[in-house]
Amino acid sequence: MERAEKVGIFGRFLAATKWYGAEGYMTMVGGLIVFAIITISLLSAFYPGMAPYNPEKSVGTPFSSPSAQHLMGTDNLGRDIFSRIIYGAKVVMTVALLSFAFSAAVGIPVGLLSGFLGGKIDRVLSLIMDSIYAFPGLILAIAMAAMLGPGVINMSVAIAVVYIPTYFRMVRGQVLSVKEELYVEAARSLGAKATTILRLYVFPNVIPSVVVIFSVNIADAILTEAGLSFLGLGIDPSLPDWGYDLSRGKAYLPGGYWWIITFPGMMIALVALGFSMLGEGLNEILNPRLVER
Amino acid sequence: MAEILLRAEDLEVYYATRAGVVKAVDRVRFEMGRGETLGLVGESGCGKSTLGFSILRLVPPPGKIVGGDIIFAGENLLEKDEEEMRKIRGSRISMIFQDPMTCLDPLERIGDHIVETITTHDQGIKRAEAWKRAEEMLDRLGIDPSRLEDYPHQLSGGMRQRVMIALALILNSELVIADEPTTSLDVIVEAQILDLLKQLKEDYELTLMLITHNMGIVAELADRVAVMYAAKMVEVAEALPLYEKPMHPYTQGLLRSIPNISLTEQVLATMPGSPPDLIRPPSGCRFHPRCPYVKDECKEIEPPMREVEREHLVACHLY
Amino acid sequence: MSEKLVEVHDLFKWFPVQKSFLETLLARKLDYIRAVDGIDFEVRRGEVFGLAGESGSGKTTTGRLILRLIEPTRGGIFFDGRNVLTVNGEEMRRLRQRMQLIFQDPYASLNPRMKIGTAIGHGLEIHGIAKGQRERDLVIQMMERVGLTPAATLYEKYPHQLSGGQRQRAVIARALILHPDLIVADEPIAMADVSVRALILHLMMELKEEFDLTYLFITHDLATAKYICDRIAIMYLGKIVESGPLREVYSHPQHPYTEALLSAVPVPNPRARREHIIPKGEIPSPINPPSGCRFHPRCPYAMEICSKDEPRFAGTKDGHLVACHLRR
Repeated sequence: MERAEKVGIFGRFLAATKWYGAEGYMTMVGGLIVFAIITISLLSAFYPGMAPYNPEKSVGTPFSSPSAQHLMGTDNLGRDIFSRIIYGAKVVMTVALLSFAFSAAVGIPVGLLSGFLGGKIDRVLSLIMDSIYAFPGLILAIAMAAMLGPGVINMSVAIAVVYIPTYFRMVRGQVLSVKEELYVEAARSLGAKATTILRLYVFPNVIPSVVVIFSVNIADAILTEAGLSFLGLGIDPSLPDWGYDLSRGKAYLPGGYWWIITFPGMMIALVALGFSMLGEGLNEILNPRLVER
Repeated sequence: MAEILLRAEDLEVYYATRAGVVKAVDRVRFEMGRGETLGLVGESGCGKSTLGFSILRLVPPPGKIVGGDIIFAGENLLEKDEEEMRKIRGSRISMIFQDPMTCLDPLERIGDHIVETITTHDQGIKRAEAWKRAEEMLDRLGIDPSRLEDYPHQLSGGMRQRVMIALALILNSELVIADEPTTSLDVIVEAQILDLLKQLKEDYELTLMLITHNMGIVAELADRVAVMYAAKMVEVAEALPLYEKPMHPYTQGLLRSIPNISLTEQVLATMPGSPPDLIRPPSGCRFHPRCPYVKDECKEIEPPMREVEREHLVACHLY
Repeated sequence: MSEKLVEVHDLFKWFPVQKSFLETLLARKLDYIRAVDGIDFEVRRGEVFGLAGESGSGKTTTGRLILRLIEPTRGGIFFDGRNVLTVNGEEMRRLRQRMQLIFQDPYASLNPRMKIGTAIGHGLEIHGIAKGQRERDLVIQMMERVGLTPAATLYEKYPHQLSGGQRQRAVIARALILHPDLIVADEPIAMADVSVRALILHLMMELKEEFDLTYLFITHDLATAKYICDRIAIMYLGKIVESGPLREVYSHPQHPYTEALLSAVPVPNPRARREHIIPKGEIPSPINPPSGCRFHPRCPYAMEICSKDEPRFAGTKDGHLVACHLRR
C-alpha cells in the first residue's frame, strides 16, 4: 500500500471515531482495550520486572483477599493473582494472534482460489472445508490439542484449524459475488490477466469483510484457549494462564474466595469484548454505510 | 385557477446525516388547484421527491419536516397526529411510487392487497363487495380482473404499475402523488401508462402531482409545471408558457439540453458544473455558479419568487 | 484497414435457464433464454451505429458478445477483418486494446478500492504501453481532455468521492486512453443527471472526431439516438427488426414495432402531444418467443403468414433493411 493510502485509512479511523457517534466510541474503547492488552503482553515479555511479584512463586499468604499489597489477592498457593494476570496476558495474546495468523494464512488464499477458479477444485475444497466446519468448535479444538500435545504453538494450531473454514467460506462467498461485479468485467475488457484481476480487483474488495471475522475470531480464540487450558489441555500448568486459573478458581468459590476465579474470568471477557468492539468499529470504517441523501 | 386543494408555505425538510444537515427542501412554497395536474420537475437531489413524501408525512429518517405548513383542503397536515394521517394516507391522498415491487407485498395476492386497502378505510364493507370493486377497477385500467388472484411477481412491470394506480384510485383519492411513475418502465409501456393517466384525469377529475425528471412526460400530462433546483423552487408556470418561454436560466438550460425527437435539427446546449451540495449550498441564488447571466447581486442575495407574467413565477434577479 | 470495422453474422446467444434440482429431473428438455437469436449487422469505420430496443431485446448482450466478454452460442464476429472468435491468449488481449466498453453504471464499473488515476491508467500497464511516471503523465493528460479537473487532485480520489458526471468521464478516459478503434457505449448517459447528459454526449462527439473513433451506441432512448447516431438497428426479442440510416428509419419506419416505438417517445413540448401507437399485449418472454415473426401477437397489421414464417431481413433501399412480411 502506498503511504498516502495508509494515512488515508488512519485519517478515516480518526474521522470515524469523531464523526461516527456510537460506533466511533465503540471502536475507540475496543481499540484502547486491545492496545492495552497488547502493550502489557509485550512489556511483560521484555521486562519481566514489570509485575510486582513472580507469578510462579508463592509470595504471600494463600487466600488473601485483594489489598494494597496484592491488588487482586492471592491464590491457593499464595501466588499473586495480579502478577499472574499480567503474565497470562502474554500467553493468551500469543495463542490468539498465532491462531489467527495460521487460520488466515490458510483460509484466505484457499478461499480466494476456490471462489475464483470454481469448478471441480471449488467443489472439492468446499467439501473438505464444510466437513471441518461441521464439527463443533470446542470439540474439534480439544481433539486437535489432545492429538498435538501441550505447548503454545500446538494450541495455536489446534485453535487455528477450527477457524480455517470460517475464513475460507467468507472469502469464497465474497469472491463469488465480487467476481460478478461490473468493475471486474471492466478489468477483463481492458485485457487484464486472471492473476491481475485476482490481485488488484478481487482481493482488495474481499479483504474488508475479513476484518469482521478477524475480531470475532480472536475473541473466540481467546475463549477457546481459556477453555482448553481450563480442561488442562493447554500449556504447561505451571505457567500463568487465565483459563487455567479460572478452572482452579472454581473449586474455591464455595469457600468464599471469589477473587481467584473472578479476575481471570473478567480479563477473558474484557479482552474478548475489546476485540469484538474493535472489529465492529473497523467494519464500519472499512464498509461505511451509504451517507443518506 | 379553481379551488386550491393543496398549498405549502415555507416548507423546510432537513436530513440530519453524519456529514452534516442536508437541506433537502428549503423554504418552498407552491399550490395546486383541484383537478389540475402539476408537474414537479428537477434533477435527482433537488428535493422534489422529498417534497412529495412530506405531503404525506412519510419522509424517512433521518429526514424531518422542520418548518412551514402544508394545507390540504383547508386543514394543516403538519398539525395532525399519526392516527389522523393514517386515515388520510391511501384514502384522501395516495401515492404511486417508482418501483411497484417495493410496495407490493410479494406474499400477498393483488386482490387481497386491494381489498385490504378498501376494508382498512371502510370498516363496514363486506369482503365480497370490496373484491367486486377491485375487479371493476382493474377492468377500467385495462387489466383482466382474473389477475386479482396473482402475486406481484407474476405480473409484468407495466401491470404492476397499473395495480399501483388502482390502489391509488380505489378510494377516490382527492390528491394523487406520483413519484417517477414511469421511470422504471420500457418506452411503450410508459406511453401506455401516460395514456391511461390522461384518461383517468378526465374520468376521475384527478388532482395529480407528477414528480419526475423526465420533461417529456411532463409535457404530455401536466397543466402546470414547478421547477425545483437545489431544494428551492425556481420557476412555476402553466405548461405551454414554461416550455415555450422558460424564464429561469436553469429551466432554459435544462430544456435546451434534452434531445427532442420531434425536431429535425437540434444542437444540445450544455450547462457547466453540477448540482450543488445541499449541506453547504452556494450563497445567494443557488444557481449562480452555473448561470450564464450571473451578476454580483446573485452571489449575495437570494432572489424571491415573483410573478413576472400572468401565472408565471420566477425566482431570479434578472426580472 | 477495412471499411467495415465490425461484422456480425448469424449471431446467437442462448443462456440456459437455472433450474432447481427437482425441476431438472422432471423437465424433459432444458429451457434457454434466447437473448440474441440470429442477427446480422455491420458497423462502419468512423460512424456512430445505434443499437436500440426495450428490455429483453438483446442489445446489451450483443455489445458484450462483440467484445467477447461472453462467448456466443453460434455465429461469427469479425473485427477489422479478423475473426474474433478464433483469437486467443496474448493476441486476444492485444485485440482488446482496440475495442473498449463504456458502461451504463459508472459507479459499478469502477473498482472501489482503486484510485481513479490508477484505474484510468491500468490499461496502459496491462498492454505494456506505459508505466510509472510516463503512465501518470498520460493519465493526467487524458483526464484534462475529458474535463476531469483539477486532474492532479482527482487522480488521488476514489470513485465514491466523485460525482456521477465525473465518474462517467473517468470511465470514458479509461476507455479512450488506449486509443481504441471501437467504443461500445452501453447506455452511457442513462444514469447521469439530466443536466450532465448533454455534456457527456458532446464530449463523446468531440472525442470521436479527435481520436478517430467508431461508436456502437446501445440505448433504449430513441431521442438521444437521433441526436448522436448515423445509422441505427432496432432490436426486438433477440432479433433486429429494422436497420438503416437513422433519418431514413425515423422518418419512414417500415416495421410496425419501429413505428410504435417512435410514437411512444415523449416529447418535451406540450404542443406536440401525439397519438401513441400502442401494440397490444406486452413483450413476451425470451424463453419461448412467438412462432414466425416475434412481433405478430402484438402487431396491428398481422396476417396469417406472420405466425408461421419468420420474415427475412431484406433491404428496401439505401441500406434500409426490414424484417416484415408487409414489406414483401
